[in-house]
Amino acid sequence: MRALLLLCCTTVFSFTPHNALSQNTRIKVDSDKIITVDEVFDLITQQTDYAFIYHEDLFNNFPKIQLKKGIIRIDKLLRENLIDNHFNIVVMENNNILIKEKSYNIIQQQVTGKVKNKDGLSLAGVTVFIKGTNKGTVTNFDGEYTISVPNPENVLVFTSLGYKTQEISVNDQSVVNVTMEEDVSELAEVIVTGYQKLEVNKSTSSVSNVDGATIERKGNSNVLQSLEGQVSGLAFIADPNNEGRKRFNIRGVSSIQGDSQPLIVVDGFPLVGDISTINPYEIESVTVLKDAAAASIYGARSANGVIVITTKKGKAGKTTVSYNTMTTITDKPDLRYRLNRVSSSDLVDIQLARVIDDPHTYEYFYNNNPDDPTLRLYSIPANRVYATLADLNEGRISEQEATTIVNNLRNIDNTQQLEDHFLRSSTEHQHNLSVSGGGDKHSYRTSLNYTKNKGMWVGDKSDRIILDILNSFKINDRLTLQLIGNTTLFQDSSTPLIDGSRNLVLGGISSYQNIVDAQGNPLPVNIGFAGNRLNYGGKNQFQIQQLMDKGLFDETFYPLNELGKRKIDNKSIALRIQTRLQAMITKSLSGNLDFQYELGGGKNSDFSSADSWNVLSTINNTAPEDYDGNPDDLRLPIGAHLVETRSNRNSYTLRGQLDFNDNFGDHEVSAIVGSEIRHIFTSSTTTDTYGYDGSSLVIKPVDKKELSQSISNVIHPAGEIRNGILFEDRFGETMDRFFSLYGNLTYGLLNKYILSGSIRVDQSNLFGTDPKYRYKPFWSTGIKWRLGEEDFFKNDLVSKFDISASYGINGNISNRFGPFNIATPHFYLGVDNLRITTPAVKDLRWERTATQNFRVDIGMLNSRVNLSAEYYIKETTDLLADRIADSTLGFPFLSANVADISNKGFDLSLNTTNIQSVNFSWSTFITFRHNKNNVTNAFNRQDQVRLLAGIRNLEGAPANTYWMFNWNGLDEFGNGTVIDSNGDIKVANADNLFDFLNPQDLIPAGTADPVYTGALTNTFRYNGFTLSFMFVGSGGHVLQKDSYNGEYLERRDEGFDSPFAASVNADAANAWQQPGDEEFTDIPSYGISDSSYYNAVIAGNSTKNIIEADFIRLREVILTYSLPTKFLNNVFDQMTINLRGNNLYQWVKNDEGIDPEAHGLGARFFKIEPSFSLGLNINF
Amino acid sequence: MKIKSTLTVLLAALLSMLNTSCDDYLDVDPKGLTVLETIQDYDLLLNGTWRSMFYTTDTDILELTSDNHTSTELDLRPIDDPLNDAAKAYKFDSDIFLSHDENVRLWDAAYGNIYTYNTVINNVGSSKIVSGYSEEDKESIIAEARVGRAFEYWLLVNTFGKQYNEATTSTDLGVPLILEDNVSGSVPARSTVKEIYDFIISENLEALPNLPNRPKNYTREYTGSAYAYLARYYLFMSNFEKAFEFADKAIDVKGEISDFTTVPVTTSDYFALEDHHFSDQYTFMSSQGTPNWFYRYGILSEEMTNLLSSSDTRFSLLYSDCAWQYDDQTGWNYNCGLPPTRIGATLGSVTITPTVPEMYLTRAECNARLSSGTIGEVINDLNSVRENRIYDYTPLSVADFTSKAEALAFVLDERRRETLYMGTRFFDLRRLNLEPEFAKTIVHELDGTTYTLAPNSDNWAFPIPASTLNFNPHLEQNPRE
Repeated sequence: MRALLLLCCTTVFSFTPHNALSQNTRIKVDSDKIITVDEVFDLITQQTDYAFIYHEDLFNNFPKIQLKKGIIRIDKLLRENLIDNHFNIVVMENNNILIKEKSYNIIQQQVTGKVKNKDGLSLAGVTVFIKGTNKGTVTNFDGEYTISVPNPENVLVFTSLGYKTQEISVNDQSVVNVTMEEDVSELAEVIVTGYQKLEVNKSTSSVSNVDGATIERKGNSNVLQSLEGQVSGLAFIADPNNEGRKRFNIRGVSSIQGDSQPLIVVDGFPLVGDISTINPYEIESVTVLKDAAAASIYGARSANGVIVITTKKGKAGKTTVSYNTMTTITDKPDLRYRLNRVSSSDLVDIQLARVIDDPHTYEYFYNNNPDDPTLRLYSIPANRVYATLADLNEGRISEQEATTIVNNLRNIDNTQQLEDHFLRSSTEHQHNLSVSGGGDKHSYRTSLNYTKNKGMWVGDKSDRIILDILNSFKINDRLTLQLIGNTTLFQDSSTPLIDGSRNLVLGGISSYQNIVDAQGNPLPVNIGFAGNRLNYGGKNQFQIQQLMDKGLFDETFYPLNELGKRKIDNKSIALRIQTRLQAMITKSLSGNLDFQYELGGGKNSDFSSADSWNVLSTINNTAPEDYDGNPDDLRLPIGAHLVETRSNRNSYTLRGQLDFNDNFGDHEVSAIVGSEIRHIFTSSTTTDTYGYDGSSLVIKPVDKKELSQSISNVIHPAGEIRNGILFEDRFGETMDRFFSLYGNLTYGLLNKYILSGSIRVDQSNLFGTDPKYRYKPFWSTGIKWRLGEEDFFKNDLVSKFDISASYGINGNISNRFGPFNIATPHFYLGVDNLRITTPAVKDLRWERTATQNFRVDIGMLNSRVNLSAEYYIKETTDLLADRIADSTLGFPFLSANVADISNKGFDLSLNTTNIQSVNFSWSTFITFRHNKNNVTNAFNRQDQVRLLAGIRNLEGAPANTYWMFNWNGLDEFGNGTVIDSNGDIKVANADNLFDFLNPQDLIPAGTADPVYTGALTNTFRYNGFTLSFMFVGSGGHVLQKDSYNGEYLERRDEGFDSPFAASVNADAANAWQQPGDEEFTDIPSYGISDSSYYNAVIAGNSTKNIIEADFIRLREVILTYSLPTKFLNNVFDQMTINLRGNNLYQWVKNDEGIDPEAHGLGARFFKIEPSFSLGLNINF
Repeated sequence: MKIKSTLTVLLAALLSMLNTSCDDYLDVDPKGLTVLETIQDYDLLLNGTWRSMFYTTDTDILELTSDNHTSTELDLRPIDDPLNDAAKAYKFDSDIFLSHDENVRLWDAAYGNIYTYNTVINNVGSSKIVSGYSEEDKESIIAEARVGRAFEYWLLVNTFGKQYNEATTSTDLGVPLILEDNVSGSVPARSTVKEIYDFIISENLEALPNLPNRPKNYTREYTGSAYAYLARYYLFMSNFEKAFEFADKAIDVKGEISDFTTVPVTTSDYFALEDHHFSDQYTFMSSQGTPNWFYRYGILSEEMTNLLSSSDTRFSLLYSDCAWQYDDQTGWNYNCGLPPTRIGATLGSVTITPTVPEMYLTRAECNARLSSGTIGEVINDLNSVRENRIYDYTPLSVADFTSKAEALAFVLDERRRETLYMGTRFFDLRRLNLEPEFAKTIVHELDGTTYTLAPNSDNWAFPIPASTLNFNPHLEQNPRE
């Protein structure tokens, strides 16, 4: 609100001026901008209580003011940078600021000149004004200016953002050329820890800030994704266990049992719900707390670092509306890359070679049981070569026909058909509308975000709505109240084919089985194992005919018809309500009372329709063997199958805190002390329903008691359903409570020497009863020396030189162990009972992470180069891990404080402004992290796991190391060989299988986590255009590639993850065939028996498949264009068009072209495809 | 200022409220798991202690060492695998449990239950009384736990220690006696067999006055089960007077035997009748699911087959002459007309606690051995069992036996028949080895090699597992041959 009054000189001085602007009054500048003085006043008025009184025309000819993004003290802004020398400023008790022009004479003299920087480059946009006046101008694109000077005594003042202000006396010169020197920013950046706000200059700890504009510009619907490349020390690491998932960690892995994800804090409260409840357009800033000094204030969960998110707040002033929209399209995934399987022709050859010794009859498989009757039905249906030979042997076709059929199979490749019908480009639409405004007593901000996704799998979609409402009330001079509400509605649905992991599309249907004919009509295919143990996969056509003859259902499987019959839906609602009451008790002491309540509800349903293959096959299989067509005899009713989970969650946090901030001469003290309680409750109910009718809501009864025990006399090919049907009905509930006390003190002397300390004690309802653990605090301490502020140091090159060091302890204790026995309830054969699942471990200690941090912040060349470098040593000791224990004392495994992990490394961030002028600028931002991680003491190597190979945390290697067998090539029979711990060569064949089961033979083959990670962002601005490129890269880590390892190919389709007969890895084409091949191939011969499985495990988990995972990716290119104001016709304040491309280019070190950011453990994931976005932002 | 002081008071009040009520605030029980606190928690723990043998396939180890079964190299393949304890047991290998660090369930499961019993015995006294319980219930819960713990020690000492032999028992090594519930504690040296037996007996005798007269449910101990345990313990100590006394008392408490001849004949129906099956036990001692070995690899030995007539339900209900067999040429085939093998039904029972028939047979054995007993009394007890086991049963009469020695031999055979699927044959063999007339060399053939286990062999006591010795090098190992 602009308070613009006509000046009345005579009455002004009748007010009692104290003429002191509070030093603590600061305003925030959103972004670098050049605005008029009037607008500066507006800005101050909006954010403070001050109003300005001055003559309407007073600043009409005054040069525009350059403001740099950040926080600035208004006394400084007004007095030093603006108008102090030319105007009288009077601050009156009612917070009105009176501005009055000083008088001067006017004698004109023309002065021209050129302004350059130290490198001789012309500087455009430098403000030139006559000292003591409001008169001035701005240099043009060539750095030239012209100004009329009233008299020779006048002094010209040259100011430009990022440069030191210069004053030059005109004297009689008509040409005044100036070389500007760069300056570090005077604007104080603040960090928000969630508990308090501190100026970066006063913080001794390791933090990184990312502003909301950067996050908004990136346009990711998930806030965390936008932090990539912005924060040194924070790495995003592809998770080989979860496709599409990234683990992100700050400064490496420091946990064995838990995850290493940082704690996320939103507006001061730890987030219990999902990060997706945060509207990415409503972020004010994100602060990442990396060391113990910063994070220990969060106590028990902070050892992995803390990400503090601050959302935007309402601002007093005119109502502003902002609208954003963005559409993102991601390329269709590459199924051929993902499947990486042999050609149909090779598959036919492989299958022909493998069935040579068999009698080739259906009967052979139906009646002859390879040691477990439940495997009886495998693979005849999927292996069409075998089926054709069986047809031939059983006399249904001629040899001629058989040859034709088999040869036809060679020419079919269904990959494209599968890709066309099941996959697509994914799209995301985002809309965001926010309104803010308010007056003296009340300000508000409301935003609505809608995000709609169509996933890459046909049928997958999700919607999200986030509504944020924020109201801030100034009750009186001392009391302010904030009410914040967040509501998130989320739903997604997917239509997997039979099973959730889409295994049928991902290799479960052999490449030679088309899913549509030439006319596009759905075709049936033969499948192997699919679904669950109740339906045991595809039956052959004779079995299906038998079923139908009995009056049961047709199980012929048409993939396209099946699509959509199974549907998984998730719906959730999350509410978050915060109230924050702040009271200024004295000038320097304030009290805060904060309360947050979170409520979440969800419904997850897994629905298979009555005519889905899943349901029909299950009903068929559970039918009595002598079924005669009477539906009453069916054990499961006809109808849909629905498993539905409803869950809810509520939590609250109540916090009281006292803040103290004051100066005593050269001493500055800021302190907080507080206490909080937290309560988290979750519950869920799952129901499992057969015979469900969605329209009438009728549920037919099912005898769950009978069916949950072994069922004999069934049609199921195994002859029985062992252990019955696993009904998923269950209840779940958890309740955790926490109580904490904390304090934090920062002391500054002369603004050069800063000392800080923090302490926190956590307790919970599960942390045990022993006071020894209960009152053990986390603490930290830090010091900082602002060397750059010392008189002896001050120089023109380096304007800022801060050195800081910190040390602190964070920790964690599992709330699932303690110095007490924990038992779990069971109900078994009619009797309630308890079993001790976790014994009392009496010497259990906190997991302890001690972090040392050393940091240097250097600003050079007028802040055009900012470097921040940190070195840290993070020692985590007493980590809880399972260790082998003496079973004589009761338990063969115990969780105990046995493991240590150390992380050492450095984080670098470098920000340079390479070119800076009014119309054009080029800046570069680099983040880099190097993390050396080592498990120094862990888990007994003599693990009970027979086959230990895989990603493990074992002593003597970094965390998440691939522990692999040491590959030594093939022997003359095509068997894989490895070198054992004694240096002996061991052959991986069935006969000496058990010689391999020694954990000592495994060697560390590299870690899955990158040793170094970096990002390089270049940003160019030209007038309204901004173009930025961000490259990210990681290196020093490895991945386990997919390959053919000698798996058994003959009969089974045992799980689609294994390249059995239905789909065989492309490497099989290079498999060993005859003696001599071992000279040039590493691919073992085709597996010939069940036990080949073990050979394949050994070859697969050997160094043969370990390759380097280094990569560089052009993560994003963003081009934005802000329309010039003149085009906006005053309708809009601002309009920005945003074009974005993600993942446009990548370089990978490995020769196979495997995408290291999308690879599993010996299996391919869909590689990351490029995506393109178009967005628009309008403010009015 | 007024507002100022109000606020100060408010904040101070809040902070102090948070502090003082903290203990109450945190004093809520977590859901979904139980921190043992109340007497009911300890009571429910006893419902959950199944005797160690039931959750282990290692019971196969005891059966495979006995004379009840015959296996082939195909059944036990791969027979040279150092991890294959089943093959090692069948071959009486001296390094069973020693060639690798894998955990041995026979040891772990027993000591795991002992931990639970110790927890109950040591802590129930200080537990909170809740509704439905009184202070006196603590004594009865402790008594039950002591009986249960004693049985675990009996199993351990008869697996890892020498057979109780009056002449050497005070020096023969048993197992470590652990009475503390502390997973971080230390393991004492092995007690002698006598010390363990003395402990077991006194625990039962001391518990008796506090035991209930009826079990709380079918998993629980009571006077009847304590008598039955004592009868078995004394029998294994060759103290036949005492064994007789307690078998007699047990039968007094519970003497009914299920009549198998009236049970429907198909196997699956038989197994479905859980009650029938369980009713003969003093406590619930049965497991869901047959240990794999029994139906995959076990073929009844010829000697055992000959002991069973076709009209014996213990044969006809549980054994079949059909089995899956592997053939190099034709793969797996289902063949019939083979030596009888246990039927692979889905409900099996490995019953290792005393049963009612076992008490009758114990009393019969004592009567046959003691001068006070008569052949008539022996026959009465035999008939009590057999009339419920054999179709169209013709009762035995005194005329069927010429001497008490002959009757004794018959009782022992009957015992072998009756305990066929109960996992105790190995223990009986150890016991009978002390008597020259019953001592027996077990002969197994595998892959063309003959393996023997002589009555005086050290290998009747299994070695202390390597995984245990790793932690406790001070434990003296058993001699092995």
